[in-house]
Amino acid sequence: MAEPISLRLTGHAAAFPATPDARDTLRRYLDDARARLRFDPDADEIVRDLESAIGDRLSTHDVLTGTQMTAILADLGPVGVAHSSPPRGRFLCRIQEKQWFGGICGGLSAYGDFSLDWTRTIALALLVFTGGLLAIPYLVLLFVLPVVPTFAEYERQRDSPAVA
Amino acid sequence: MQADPKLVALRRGLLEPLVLAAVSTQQRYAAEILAALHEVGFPAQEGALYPLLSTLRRDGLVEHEWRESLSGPPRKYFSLTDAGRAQLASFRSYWNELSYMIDTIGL
Repeated sequence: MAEPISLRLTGHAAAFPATPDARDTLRRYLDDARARLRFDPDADEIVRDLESAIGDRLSTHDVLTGTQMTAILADLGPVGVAHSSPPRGRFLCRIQEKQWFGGICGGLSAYGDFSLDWTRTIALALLVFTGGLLAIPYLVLLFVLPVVPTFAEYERQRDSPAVA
Repeated sequence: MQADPKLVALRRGLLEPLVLAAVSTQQRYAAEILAALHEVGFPAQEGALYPLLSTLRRDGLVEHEWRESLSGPPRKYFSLTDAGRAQLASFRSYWNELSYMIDTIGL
């Protein structure tokens, strides 16, 4: 059996003896909670509250096993996101990260989840086939599309609730 | 408790009014709110309760104060704000409307 370790939880002065397995199980649960709450401005506070609530159920005497930890976390239940508004969904934009000329191909590739290289290749091919006429809608898009700095930021905006 | 998905979906929206009601007459901390919910037969878990309490606080419907506890870390005791009281009252009157509808429609 693995050597017990000390588990420290927010708000609790005393440490809780636990197996490494229990610690890893807890870590996964809290990481998952953070991921689910990533758009919640109070995510850190909620995770601290959860930690504290978990500590209320632990003993400072007995070594907590992974199975016991799993049971406690099942009792706590999955961390739900309280807001009910749906995510914004995908939208067209220009993405500055990796941009060549305005970032329109970047925006299209993020919109459709295409490879950026293929999007550019097709755009260039179309530019040649149309004898340069593609440049006109391209310039229009350059003016009308909103700008997003990075691909990660695009994904964040896409998955965040729509602003009412 | 019901596990029929249709009934579960119907019940889900009740968590918020029930939490507001649970702190309407006395200050309670999260574990007490949970116990109050279980006492009336409403299944709820911390995983859903904590994010909800945080949203309610952000929306100005509940407020909390820290109090020392004998057995562990200090606890947040929640109570309703005036806005929370108004929200609970409108939940209740809407609930009455809804139950009036289902009670009278087939008659």
